[in-house]
Amino acid sequence: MGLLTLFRGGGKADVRRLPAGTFTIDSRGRIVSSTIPTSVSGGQLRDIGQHIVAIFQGARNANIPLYQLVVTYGVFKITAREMRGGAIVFMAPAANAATAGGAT
Amino acid sequence: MHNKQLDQLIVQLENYLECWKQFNYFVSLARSKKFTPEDENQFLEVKSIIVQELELIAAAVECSSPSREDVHALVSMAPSIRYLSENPEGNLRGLENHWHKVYVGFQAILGQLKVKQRQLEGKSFISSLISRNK
Repeated sequence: MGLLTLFRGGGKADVRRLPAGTFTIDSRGRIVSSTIPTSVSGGQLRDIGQHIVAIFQGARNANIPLYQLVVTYGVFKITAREMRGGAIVFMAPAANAATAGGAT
Repeated sequence: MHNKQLDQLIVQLENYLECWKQFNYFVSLARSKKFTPEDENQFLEVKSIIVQELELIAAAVECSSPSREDVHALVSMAPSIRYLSENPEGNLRGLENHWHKVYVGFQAILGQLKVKQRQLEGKSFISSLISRNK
């Protein structure tokens, strides 16, 4: 599955900070807006976006109501919410997701 | 404005309006008082997208209403879900009112752009007919 292999390195491994932030995509998987640092490759974001749009599209075609998609890696979490064909994608390293803000 | 640019702007504005719906979703979380730290993070992200995107839209379309100040005032009124959840109900209603005004304002701008899109489509259809007849 594409989302499971997104972060698998191709060759020489280098240490990189996990992307944190949010981006929105349209129904064609094109990035519309983003708060992800520009140091993160646009190609990788597009890849993630296109996978997500394809999943929502597949669910729609199968008449499965899918509003939110959460992919949890060991130290990283992707939360995507459907937005009329497009989506908003929240990407947060696990530590970020647990510490900020208050909760009840 | 070319057709393609206009189409892109419409997609951008539609996407922007969906972000505004997300804003309202987090306000409803505040009212229910059931939210997590992750919701707080996401709320901040949604506000960031809203403020950033506003600049891109304002650069492409002249929008006097809702103004940049209206949007910034609304975002400033909602620093966090926790803050909103501790506000009295009257304040939340005021915020929703403000949100609704801004949301409807952007819908009106989207409508105007769609009118332009139709006009351009009509023109290009007529010009293609004329060029065929030549």
